[in-house]
Amino acid sequence: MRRSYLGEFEEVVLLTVAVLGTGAYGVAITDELDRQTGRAVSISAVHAALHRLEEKGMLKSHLGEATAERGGRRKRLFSVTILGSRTLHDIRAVRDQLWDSISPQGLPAVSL
Amino acid sequence: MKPVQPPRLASRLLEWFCAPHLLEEIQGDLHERFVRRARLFGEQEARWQYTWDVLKFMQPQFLKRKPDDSGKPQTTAMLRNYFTIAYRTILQQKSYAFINVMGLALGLSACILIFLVVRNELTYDAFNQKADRTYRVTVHGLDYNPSVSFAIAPAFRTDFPEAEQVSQYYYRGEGQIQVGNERYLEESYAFADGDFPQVFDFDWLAGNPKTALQEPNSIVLTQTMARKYFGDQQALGKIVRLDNQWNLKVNGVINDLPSNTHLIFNFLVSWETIRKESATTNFWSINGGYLYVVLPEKLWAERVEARLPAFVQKNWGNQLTQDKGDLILQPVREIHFDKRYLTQITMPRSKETIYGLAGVALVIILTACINFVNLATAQAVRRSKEVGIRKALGAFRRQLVGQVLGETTLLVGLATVLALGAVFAFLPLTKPMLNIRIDASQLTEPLVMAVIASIVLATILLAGLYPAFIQSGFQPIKALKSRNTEVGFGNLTLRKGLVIIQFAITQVMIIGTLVVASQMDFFLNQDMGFEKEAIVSFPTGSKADVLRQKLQDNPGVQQLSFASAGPAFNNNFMPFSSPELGMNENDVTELKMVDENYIPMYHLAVLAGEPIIKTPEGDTVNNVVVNQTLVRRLGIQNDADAVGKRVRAGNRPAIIRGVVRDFQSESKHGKIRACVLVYNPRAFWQVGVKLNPQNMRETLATIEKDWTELNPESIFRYEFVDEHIAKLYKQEETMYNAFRLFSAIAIIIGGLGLFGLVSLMAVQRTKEVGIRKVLGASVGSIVVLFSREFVWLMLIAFVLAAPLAWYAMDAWLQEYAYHIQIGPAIFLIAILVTFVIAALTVSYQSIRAALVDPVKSLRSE
Repeated sequence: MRRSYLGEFEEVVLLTVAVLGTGAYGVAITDELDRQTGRAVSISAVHAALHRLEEKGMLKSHLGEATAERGGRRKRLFSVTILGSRTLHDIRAVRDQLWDSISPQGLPAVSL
Repeated sequence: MKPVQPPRLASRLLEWFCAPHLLEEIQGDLHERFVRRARLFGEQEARWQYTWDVLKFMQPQFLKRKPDDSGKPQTTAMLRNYFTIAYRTILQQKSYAFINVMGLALGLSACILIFLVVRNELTYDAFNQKADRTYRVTVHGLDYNPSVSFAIAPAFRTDFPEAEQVSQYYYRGEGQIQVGNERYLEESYAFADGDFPQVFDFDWLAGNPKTALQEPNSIVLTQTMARKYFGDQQALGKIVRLDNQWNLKVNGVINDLPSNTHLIFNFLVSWETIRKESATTNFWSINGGYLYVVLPEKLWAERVEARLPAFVQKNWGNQLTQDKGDLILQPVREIHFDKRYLTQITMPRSKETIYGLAGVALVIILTACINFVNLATAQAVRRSKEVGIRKALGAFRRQLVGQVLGETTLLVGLATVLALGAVFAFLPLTKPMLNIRIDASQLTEPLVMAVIASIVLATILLAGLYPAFIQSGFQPIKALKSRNTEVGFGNLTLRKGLVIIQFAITQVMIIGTLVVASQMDFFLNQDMGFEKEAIVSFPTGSKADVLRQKLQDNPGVQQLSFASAGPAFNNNFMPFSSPELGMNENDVTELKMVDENYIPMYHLAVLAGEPIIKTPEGDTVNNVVVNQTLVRRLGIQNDADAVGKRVRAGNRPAIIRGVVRDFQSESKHGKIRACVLVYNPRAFWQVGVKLNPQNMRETLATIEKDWTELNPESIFRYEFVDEHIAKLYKQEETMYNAFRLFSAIAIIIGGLGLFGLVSLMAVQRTKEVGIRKVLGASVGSIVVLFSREFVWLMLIAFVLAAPLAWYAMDAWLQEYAYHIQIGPAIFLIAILVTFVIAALTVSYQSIRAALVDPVKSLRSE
C-alpha cells in the first residue's frame, strides 16, 4: 500500500490551501484554520508545515506582490501540486472506505 | 499619521536568526498580523504578540540556511583555478619554469649541503654530555703545546679533588695489530685511562664503559676494526697483539668515532698497560699526552685556572727556573678552532673559514632567488592581462599576492624535492671530496629538518614577495587597455640592479676560486728548499747497519740517508739560547738528528761553513749545522760570521759548524722556524732513499723484501716525500674542492638566470627586432644591441666585485705564512671568464632572435 506521509496537522493545512485557492499564504491560512476548526494555531507552526509540505512535493509556491500592510514585503503564495491532490484523495478514499465498512451498530449513536 | 511599527528589537532578532530565503515571507506575514492586531487590540498588545510570534519561529528549520550551490563560489573553486593557471603557465613557459626550478634546486641543495657541513664543524666534540665543562690541560711555554707531561695528571688529581674526572690520553699514531697470524697496520691508536669513557660519551656496542679500560692489557676496538679482525664473530674477550709487544684482551667495542671530534683513533689501549714505565716527575718531559678534566657544574673554569700557577709552582717550582710554563684550561669544544697549537694531531680549522662557507651558501641561495625575481618580474608583464581580468572580476590584492606566492611555493616545492634528492646522492661523496663524513641519518633530525624547512620558507618569501607585489599592483585599466604594458622605470632599474648583483657574485666567486687555485698550486709546487723527487721514506726498524749495507748494494738506490725525520716530516722541538751572543732567553727550535748524507741527498744549500760534522766521542760540545733563520735570530746578518759561534741547544753547549739555506723543516705550513741539524745515530728512526727513476717498482720490491727479512714481525710501509707533502695540504685541498664546487654552482645558477632573462627579452622585443631588420639592420648589429647593455652591467659589477673579492681573499691569504700575491692577472681572467659566460648565454638567444624572419615576427598584430 502506498503511504502518504502526512500528519494530521499537515493534512488540515494542505486542505486549507486547497480551500483558499489562489490566495493561500501564511496569514490567510492561519485565519482560515482558525475560522474553520476553531483551533488557535500559531503562525510559526503553519509556516513550518507549509515548508515541510513543499519539501515533500505536495505544495508549490511562488512569491506574490508586495502590499503596504506587509511593510512592503512579498507574500509566498502556495498551491496544491498533483502529488498533494492525489495524496488528499487517497486519504479521503481510505476514510470513505473505512466509513463504509462500519456497521450501523459499530458506532455508538451520537446525538447531533 | 505615522504608521505603527513592530518592535524593533524583535525584528532585529528575527532578521538575525532567520534563514535569509525565508525571511521575507515570514516578516511580511508577521507584519500583516501586527498591523491588524494593532488595529483590533491596540499597539501595545500587538507588539507583545509580535515578539511572541518571533520567538516561536526560533526552530531549527527556520534557522537552517539553504544549501548554497550556485550563488557564492567555494574557496576551493578558486584554489583549483589557481592550480590550473599555474599548471598552464608552467606548460606554456617550460624553459623558464625549468630554469627557475633547476636554479632553485641547485641553490637549495648547495645550501642544505653547506648547512650540514657547517653544522658538522660547529658541533665539534659536542656529542659529549659534559662537553661544556670538559677542558684539555695544555701548556704555554715557548709555544703552545697541546700535550702535557705525564707528571701533571697524578698531581692534578691530588690537588684538585673537586674535579669530577681527570683523564690521561696519549696518542701514539701508527700501530701494528696481530690477530692469529694476520697482521694489520693501523693508522692511529691511543692509550687512555679508565676515566676516559666517562669524559667522552662513546657509543658502546659491547663491554662496560666503566671498567673496559681499567685493567692493564685491555683494548677497546672501534666497530670497523672489530669487523676487520673478527668478522661477524664476537670480539669481546679475544686477544690481539699490538706492536709485537703487548697481548691485549678486547674489553669493549664502540661505534666508529663521529665525524666531528678532535679525537682520532682506531682503537684505545688501557693506560695501565704502560703507566709504570711512563711515570715521570719532570714537568718538561717530552713523554706527554693530552690531559682532560671535567669540572663540576657550578665551578668556574677561571677559578681553577687562577689556581694553576700556584699548582705548578708547588709541584715543579724547582724545574721552572729557566723556562717558564703556564698551564691552560682549553675548553674541549674550542679545540677544533684554536689555531695556536701547531703540533696538534688534527689541524684546527678557523671559524672564519666556516663562516665564509656559510656566506657562500647565502650568496648561492641569493643568486637563485635573484633569478627567480628577475624572471618572474619580466614574466609579470606577460601576465598583466590575467591580472587585469582578475581585478576587474573583483579579486582582492591579497588574493593576487597569494596566487603568486602560491605559484612560487609550487616551484620551490618542486625544487626542494629535487634538491633533497641531489643532497642524498651527494652525501656519500662528502668524505672523499670534503673530508667530512655526513650520514644521511642527519637529514631526519628534527633540528636539521626545521632548518631546511626555514631555508625553503625564506626562499619562497625572498623569491616570491617582490614579484607578487609587482604583479598584484597592475592597474586593471592600463593592463587591459594597451597591448604592451610598459614596465615601470623603477622596475627596470631594479632588474638591472639584480643583474649587476648577480654578475658581481659570479665575479667574486671566480676571483675567489682563482686565488684559492693558485695558492694551492703554490703550496704544492713552491720551492721547499729541498729535493723531494723520487725520495721514499720508511722506518728504520731494527738492525740499521745491515739495512744500510743492503740499501747501498741495491743498484736502484742512488742515495740514502738515516735521520730522525726528513724535511717536512714530524717535529722535534727543543729550546735554544746563546749566552755568548747575549741571547739568554730560550727560544724554540726544530731539531733534526741526521747523518752525513742528509744535506747532499735533500740538496740543502750550504751557505757557509761545512756540512754535518760528527761530534767526536766523549766531546761535550756538539757540532751543529743551523739554518739562516736561526742565524738571524742570533742577530747575525752575515752567514759566514755565525760559523764557530757557541750556542746552547737543548740545554747543551754546541758550536755552529755550518749554515744552510732555509728549508721547510716542519710538517705544518707555518713560517719556517729556527732549525738545528746534529749528527746523532741513536735517533735514526727514518730512512730516506733516493731512487733511480728507472725500475722504481722493482727497487721498492727489493727494499721491501730486504726490510721484511730484517723485521719479520712488522709490515713494511713507505711513503714518497712529494706525496707526503701533498697530504700535508689535504685540508687546503678539501677547502679548495669545496670552494670550486660551490662557486661552480653559483656560476651555473647565475648563467641560467642570465640565459632566461635574455630569452625573455628577446621574446618581448620580437617586433622591434622585426622592424629593425625590415629597416636594414644586420644580424650583427642586433646581437650588439642585445649585448651592449649586459656588457655595461658586467663592467659595473666588476667595479663592485673586484675590491670586495680582493679584500676577502687577501684576508684569507693572510692565514698562510707563505702565500701568493693577488696580481692583476687574476682580475683580468675573472672578467674575461664572466665575459665569455655572458657572451655565450646572451649570444645564443640574441642570434636566434636576430635570425627570425621579419615576415613572421611582424605578420600578426
